[in-house]
Amino acid sequence: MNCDERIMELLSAYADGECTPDETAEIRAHLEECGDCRTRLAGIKTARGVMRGLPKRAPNPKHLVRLRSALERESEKEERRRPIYIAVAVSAAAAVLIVAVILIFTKHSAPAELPVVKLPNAGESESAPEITPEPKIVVKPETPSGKQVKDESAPGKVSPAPEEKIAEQPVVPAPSEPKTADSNADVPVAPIPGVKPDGTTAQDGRMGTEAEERALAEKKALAEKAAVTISEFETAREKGDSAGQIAAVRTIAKVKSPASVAFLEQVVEKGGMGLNANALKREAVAALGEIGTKDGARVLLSVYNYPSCEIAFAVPPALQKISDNDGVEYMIQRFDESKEFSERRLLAETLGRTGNRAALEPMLAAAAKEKDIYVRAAAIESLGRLGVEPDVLVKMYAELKGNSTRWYLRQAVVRALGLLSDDSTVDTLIKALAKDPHSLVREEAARSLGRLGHPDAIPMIKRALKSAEPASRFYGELVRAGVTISEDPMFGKPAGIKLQTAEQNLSVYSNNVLFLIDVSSSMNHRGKMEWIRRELERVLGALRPNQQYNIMVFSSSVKQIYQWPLYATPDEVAKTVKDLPKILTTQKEISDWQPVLSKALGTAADTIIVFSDGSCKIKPGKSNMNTTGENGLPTVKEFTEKNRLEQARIYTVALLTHSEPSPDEHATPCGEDVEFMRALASENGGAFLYQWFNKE
Amino acid sequence: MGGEFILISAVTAYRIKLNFCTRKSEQFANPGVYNNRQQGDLLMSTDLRALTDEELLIRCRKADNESAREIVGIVAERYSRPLYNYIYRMVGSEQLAEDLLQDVCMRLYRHRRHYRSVAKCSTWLYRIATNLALNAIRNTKRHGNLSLSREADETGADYASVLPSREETPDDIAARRDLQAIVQGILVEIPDKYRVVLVLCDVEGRSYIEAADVLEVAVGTIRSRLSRAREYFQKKFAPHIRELEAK
Repeated sequence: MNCDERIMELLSAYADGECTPDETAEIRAHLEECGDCRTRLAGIKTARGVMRGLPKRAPNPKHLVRLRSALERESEKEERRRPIYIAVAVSAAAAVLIVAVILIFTKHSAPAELPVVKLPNAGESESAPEITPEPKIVVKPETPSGKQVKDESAPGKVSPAPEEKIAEQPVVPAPSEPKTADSNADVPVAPIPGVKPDGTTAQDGRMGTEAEERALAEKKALAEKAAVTISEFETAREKGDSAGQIAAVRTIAKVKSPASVAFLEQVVEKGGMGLNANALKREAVAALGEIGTKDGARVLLSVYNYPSCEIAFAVPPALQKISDNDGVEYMIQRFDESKEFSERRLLAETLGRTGNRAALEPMLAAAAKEKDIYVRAAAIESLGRLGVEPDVLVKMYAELKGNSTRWYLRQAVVRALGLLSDDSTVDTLIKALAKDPHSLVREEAARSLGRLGHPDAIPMIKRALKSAEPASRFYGELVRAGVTISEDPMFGKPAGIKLQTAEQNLSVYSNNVLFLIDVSSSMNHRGKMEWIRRELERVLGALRPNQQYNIMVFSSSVKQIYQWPLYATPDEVAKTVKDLPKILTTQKEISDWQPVLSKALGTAADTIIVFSDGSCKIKPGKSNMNTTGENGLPTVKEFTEKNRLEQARIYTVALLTHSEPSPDEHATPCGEDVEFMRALASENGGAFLYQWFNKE
Repeated sequence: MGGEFILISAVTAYRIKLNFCTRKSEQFANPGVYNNRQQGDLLMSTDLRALTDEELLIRCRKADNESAREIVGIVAERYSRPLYNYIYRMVGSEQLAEDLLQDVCMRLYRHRRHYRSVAKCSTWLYRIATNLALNAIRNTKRHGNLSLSREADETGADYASVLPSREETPDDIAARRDLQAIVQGILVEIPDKYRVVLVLCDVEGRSYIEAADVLEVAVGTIRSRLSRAREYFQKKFAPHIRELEAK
């Protein structure tokens, strides 16, 4: 058949009902004759069905919220829209140029000016001590300060003069110099704002000139550095070199200049090239935090609602890093002005973490009367981080006490007390642990007492332990607090482990338990592994947070799962339980007892629980020990005694199938492997248990 | 005289089309949730919400910034799900799709004054989305990051479609997810200009005319490209069918 392209096209259109009547007739006629095309048509329909059956993906629900804030930013920016990157680079370059021009002029006028500059120093008493440059300070030209750029006119903040001027210092006392006029004539030439041409007010202006010069020099250096880094970034971007782009962003984080902030803002908005867009954006966000100026904070806050949550997540840590006073001040101002609860909450949380005491006042105000409970709680917590007077928090707790609905705030107060770690608050925390009506507040109190580490809390913690539900989070917190304060890792009583098989029940007391699990190939059958998994899940789940555990799996080799035994806190247990299927993968090997036992006996475990089907056939030559001491091998007793580090009790759980001999002690003959496990338990102060596994 | 007649008939044709569009777009309308809306806002928006997409966009052309944002927000709410799905099927990466979706909305806002009332809103949006998606694909390809397409996996799909129906066994579900991942994997491997048509017509179920409107090409072009695209798809999909049947 001549199924050319045209036919194929018709076929495809026919499947969609998009043919003209003539075409329909034609293709139908063709289909009658051509089996291939009938198959093709069916194929098209199947594929179409499959594609149409793809699930409808939905965007992140937060998308619309982010869009709203992006739109707001967009409309704010609409007026001052400029081309990306290039604009930044150009403005940076322009800044360099302007600064250079200024410098050329000021350099020309500098020698003439100097005496005049010194003149006011002698007359103006209040600024004199700071301005008169001391040689020692002056020698350091690199007084780094981005802020000075803005503070030029304030005489108090003028930084020491560059070296070349020290030489002229002796000239200072000279009250009138003929050069004054010259310099005055020179001044207007330099296009620097703030410099006044008339002689009387020239002093401030002069001082400004000198400071300005230095500030400008600094600014120039920064702008140059920024421009260089930006161009490096551009080159990397064009090449699609992700490492280069990231490196450039990291470098610019060290350049505290407005150009860097503007540049980083663009990076956050536009990303770089290639798949690393978000990584780069996150890097830029972190860099903004590092720069930490007011502008940096502003951009970070506007980024917080940026489309990609991956970037939004990077904002709080970046905000926390802000160390510049005006950056923090800006955040405080935003906190006071903002109406968005999410933003206020973020700011309340991060202001505390900046550790800047300036934030204390707004936090106090918010902690007292903020309407939104989350913002208020965050503010309270920040009070703890900022080191408020402990009395404030103690009083606050007392005030909130009667109100049962205010537990969330009490929890925040209690957390803040823990963060504050002031010994005088121990009574309040103990009271909270004993009497607070809300369990989560009591839990928080336990945690805070642990942070505080005051020994007075021990009796109360012990009492609370008695009534607490074992294996609850509260219990865990109590034990953790007790362990921290008393420095006794065995704080609390040793707890029982309940071993159970279909027929037996046994309680074992242990502080540090080690599970040995046979993962040889024979364990792969009849749901043995699944049974062990369930048992372990049960036993681990019932452990108390002050008990330790570890797991070893063995076949002919041994694998210790955790390097150190873990405390059975709910988190750790949950992690282990989640990993159990991975841990319990069987190997295609025969089990070997010797390496695993020597390793297990060498740990600090006080209890060893062995799960095995025992079917490591104790063949002569293969095995390194046996029950009888035949063939010159050590007996189990000899072996364990030789290798034992601690007086660990060994409990063995044999997983048996009906094809094997009965484990009943009095039944004879007994399989040697089962006998071995029994001996292992009885020789080591433990017990032997068994579980039947019927045939599949 | 003749000119006038043509003009009138064009206008009528457009009206008819517009009606058709409005009905069609309802199918895509998917009211999202705006929790943090304030009271005053709501009053105004109920008003706006009664309008069709096209009416909104026409209003948006002359609106001040705030109401323009409001309108774009409403349009975005109506279209974000279908657009996201469309973009995702094109680029095969959730993150990228989300970023692009945001870009589409931002473009809608920025270029609100350029909206021509002759165009259907959904067409306009899909056109923007197509261009942005193709650009993004080209960019990533140019920088050798083809692995992008491999990101596709169906585990994160909408819950409704992943939740098992009553008769399905876990194996069936796994197989279905496999199948979806395979299909998505093939989609992103098809050359751009064919993929667009395939996604529009076969995944989205658009008619040839609609697809032609979005891509600004003739219907005949859509027909031939779709046929080609299907051949591509078949070629890559055939081995998997056998594989799936073997299971």
